[in-house]
Amino acid sequence: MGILEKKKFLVVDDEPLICEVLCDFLESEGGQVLSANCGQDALKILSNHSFDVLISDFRMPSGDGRSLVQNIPQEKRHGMLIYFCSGFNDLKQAEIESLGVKHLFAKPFQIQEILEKIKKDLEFATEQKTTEHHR
Amino acid sequence: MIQSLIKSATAQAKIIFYVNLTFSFFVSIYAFNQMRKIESQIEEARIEKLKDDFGRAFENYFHPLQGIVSSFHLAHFNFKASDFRNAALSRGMFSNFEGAIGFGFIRRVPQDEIDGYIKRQAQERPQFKLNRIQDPNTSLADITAMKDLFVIELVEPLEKNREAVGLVVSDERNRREAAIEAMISGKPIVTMPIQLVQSKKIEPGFLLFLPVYETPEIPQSGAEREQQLVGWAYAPLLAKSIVKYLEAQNPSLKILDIREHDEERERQSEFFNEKDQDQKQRLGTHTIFAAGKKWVVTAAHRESDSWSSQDKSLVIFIVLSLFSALLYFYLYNFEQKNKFQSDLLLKTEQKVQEATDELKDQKAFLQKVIDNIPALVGYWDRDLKNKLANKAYFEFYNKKPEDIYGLHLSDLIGPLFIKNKIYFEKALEGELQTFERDIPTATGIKSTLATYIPDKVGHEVVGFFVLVFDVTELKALQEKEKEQQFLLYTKSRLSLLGEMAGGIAHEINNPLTIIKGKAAVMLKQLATMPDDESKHRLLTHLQSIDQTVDRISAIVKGMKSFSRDAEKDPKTIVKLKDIFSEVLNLTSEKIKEQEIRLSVEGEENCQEKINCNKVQIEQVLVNLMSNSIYEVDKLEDKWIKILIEKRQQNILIRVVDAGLGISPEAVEKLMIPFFTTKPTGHGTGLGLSICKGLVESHGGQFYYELYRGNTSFVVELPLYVGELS
Repeated sequence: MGILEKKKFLVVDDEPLICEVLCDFLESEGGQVLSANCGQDALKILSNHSFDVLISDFRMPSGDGRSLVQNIPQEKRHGMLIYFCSGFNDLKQAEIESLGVKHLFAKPFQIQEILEKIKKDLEFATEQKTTEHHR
Repeated sequence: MIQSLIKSATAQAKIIFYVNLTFSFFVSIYAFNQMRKIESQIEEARIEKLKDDFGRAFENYFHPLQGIVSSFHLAHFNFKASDFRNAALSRGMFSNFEGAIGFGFIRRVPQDEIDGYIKRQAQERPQFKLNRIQDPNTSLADITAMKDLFVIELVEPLEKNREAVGLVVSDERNRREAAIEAMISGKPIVTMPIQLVQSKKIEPGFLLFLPVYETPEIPQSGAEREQQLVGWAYAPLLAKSIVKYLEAQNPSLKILDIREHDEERERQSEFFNEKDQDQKQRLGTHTIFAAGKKWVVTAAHRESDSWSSQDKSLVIFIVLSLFSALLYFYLYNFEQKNKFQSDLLLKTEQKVQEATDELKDQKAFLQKVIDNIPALVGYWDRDLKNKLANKAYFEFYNKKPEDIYGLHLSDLIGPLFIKNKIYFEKALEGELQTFERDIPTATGIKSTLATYIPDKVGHEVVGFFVLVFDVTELKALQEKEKEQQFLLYTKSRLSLLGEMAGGIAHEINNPLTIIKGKAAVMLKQLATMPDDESKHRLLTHLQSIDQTVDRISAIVKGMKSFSRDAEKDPKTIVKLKDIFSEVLNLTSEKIKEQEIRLSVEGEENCQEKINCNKVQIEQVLVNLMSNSIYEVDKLEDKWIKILIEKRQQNILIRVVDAGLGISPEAVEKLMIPFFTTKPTGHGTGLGLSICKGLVESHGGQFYYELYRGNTSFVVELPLYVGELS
C-alpha cells in the first residue's frame, strides 16, 4: 500500500472537474478525499473534520486560497500539509513559505508531479513524527 | 559756407584766389600811395594856390593903389578931394574891388606943419579935422615923441569912409608900424588885424599901405626912402572879404583860421577863426608871407562829394577783391564742372562696372543656388533645346551643365524621351505636369518625382522649367516607416494582449487542467486494461491530447511573455539532453514523413544544464524545427542540423536547415509577433517573436545567422552554474 493510503485529503477548487480529477487519483491511491468549491465551504468542512493534506486553488470566488489558509483554526492547521494550485503566478516563493504552503503547482499541472510531491512530503513528515516520538 | 567753398576748391583756384587777393591788396596800397601822392600834390598845389591867392588877395588892391600913387605923382601931390573922388570913380574903385571899403591917401605931415596942413585941407573941405585914435598900445609920450603924423587925407567912397577922413593913423601902433614898414621897405605892407573905424560891427580888417615917394621910382636906401616919403596910398580892407576871396578862389577849401604872426614881437592876432567841429581833412596850417606880414592860415577841405584816397583805395581793394572772388568762383565753378563731369564719367563707369559685376555675381549666385538645390533644375525652350541646367544634371546624366546647353532633350534623356513625351507636350500646352519616373543612372536606379512648369509669356508658352527630385531614399524611408509603424502598432497591440494574457491565462489554464487531468485519468484506467492494439491506439491518442494541452499551455505562457511578469515563470534546472529528447520526440513524425535528414552535432554538450522553463525552451526549439521542416520541404536537398556548442558560460543551440538564407528585411518581418509566412492551417507556432521573448526572458539571445551559406537560428542561453539539488 502506498503512503497515501488512509490519508485524508481536502481538495478545494472552484472548478468541480478539477476536484474530480484530483479525487480520482487520490482515491485510487487509497486516500480519503473531500472536496469544496470555495474557501467558505472549505472552512465549514474543516471545522468538522481534520485532514492530512489540503490542496487548494489559489484564485477562487468567495474566499481565495490565501484567506482560506489564514482562517484555518490552529488546531486543524497543525500537521496538515498545504498545497496551492494556480493558473497564474500569483505568489512569490517567500509568501508561499510564510503561509506555510509547501508548494505551488502551476496549472495545468502534471498530476503525477503532484502525487510524487505529496508522497515525498508525507514520508518526510512521518519520519519527523517518528524521530520526535523516539526523543 | 565760404570757408567750405574755399576748402573744396582745388589748389589751383585757391592759389589764384589768394594771389589775387594779395595782388588786390598791394595794388590798392599802391593806388593808395599814388593817390596820396597825387592828393598831396594837389594839396600842395592847392596850398600854393592858396598862398598865391592870399598874396593876390592883397595884390588885387595893389593896382588901384598904384594908380593912386601914379595920380599923386602926376598931380604933384596936389590932389583935390573932388579930383580924387572922380579919379577913384573912374577907376572903378567904388565898385570893382570887393573887400576894400575904400581907397585913399595918407599924408605924412610933420607935427610942426600940422596946423598949416589942416588949414589947407579946410580950404577945400571945411569940415576937415584931425581924428585922433586912442590906442592903449601908444602912449601920449609916444605921440609927442613922434616927428610926423600920418593923416588920412583922402578916401573914397566917402559914403563908406567918412570916419576915416582925417584919421591920424600914426596914433595907432599897428597902423603906424605898418606904414613905417612900408615906408622903409618900399613895399606894400598890411597892418595886423585891426578894428576899422569904418566898420560898425566888431570885425577885423586891415589897412594896406603902399608908400608914395617924391619920385615915382622907389629910392634905393631906407634912409632915402624915409626922407623922400610923401605918404601912402592905402586901402582899408575887411578881413572877411579876404576870406571870401580866398574861398571864392578855392571853392574846395574852407578857411578856418587866419592869423597874423609877428615874430619880432611875438604877437599873434587872429582875425578869423571859425571853430570847426569837424577836424578832419585839414589842409593844415600854412605860413604865407603876404603884404609884408607873415600869415598862418588853417584851411580844410570842404565836405566834398568826392571820396578821400582812403575810401578810393578801399573801393579799389574791394573791387579787385570782388574781381578775384569772381574769378575764383568762376574757376571754382569751372573746376567743379570739370570735376563733376569727370566724376560723373567715373561714376557712370563705376556704375556700369558695378552693374556688370553684380550681374556676374547674380548670375554666379543663381547658378550656385540652382546647383545647390538637391534636384534637377533645368529649362527647355519650346524647341526642346536646353537653356539652363544645374549641377545635378551631371550626377544624373554625367554631363556638365555647359555641355547640356543647347542640347535637344532627346539627346540627353534617350529612351526616357518617349516615356515622358506626353508630359512635356502637355507642359508646352501650358499645363503643369507632375509624375514619377524611375531613372537609371550610373549609381543605380533612382526613383524621381518630376515636375514640368510651363513658362508663359502672355498667352504663349515659350518653354518649361524642369524640377526633378530624387525620391529614392524618401521612398525607402517611407517603406521603412510604414513597417516600423506596423511593428509599433503590433507591439502595442501585443502588450495589450500581454496585459490581457494574465487574465486569460487563468481562464484557459483551468480548462486545460481539466483536459489534462481527465486524460491522465483515462490513461490510468487504460493501464488496467489488457494490452491490445486498441489500448495502444487509445494510449497514443491520450498522449496526443496531453501534448496538445502542453502546447496550448505553452502558448498561453508565451503570451504572458509580453506582459510584465514573464520572469515569474517557474524555472527549473534541466539537462539539455532532456529538452532535446522531448523536442525530437515532438518533431520526429513530421521529419520522417517528409524524409528530411536530421543530424545533431555536439551531443556531448547535452550533458550541460540550464536553469529554465523546460516547456518554454522546448517550444522555442520545436518552433524552429517546425519552421525548418516547412522551409526545406520546398527544396531538393532536405536536411536539418542541430549544433550544440558551448561558448564560455553559454550554450549555443543552432538550428540550421538547407535553406540558403533569409534577407535581413525578411528576418525582421519574421520577428513580428505571430507573423508567419506559412499559409493558414499549417500551424502558427509561437512565432519567432515569442521565441525571442522567451529566450530573452531566460537571459539569453535569439537571432538569425547565415551559417556557411545556410539559414540558421541561434538560441543562446546561460549555463547553469551550481549543483542539481
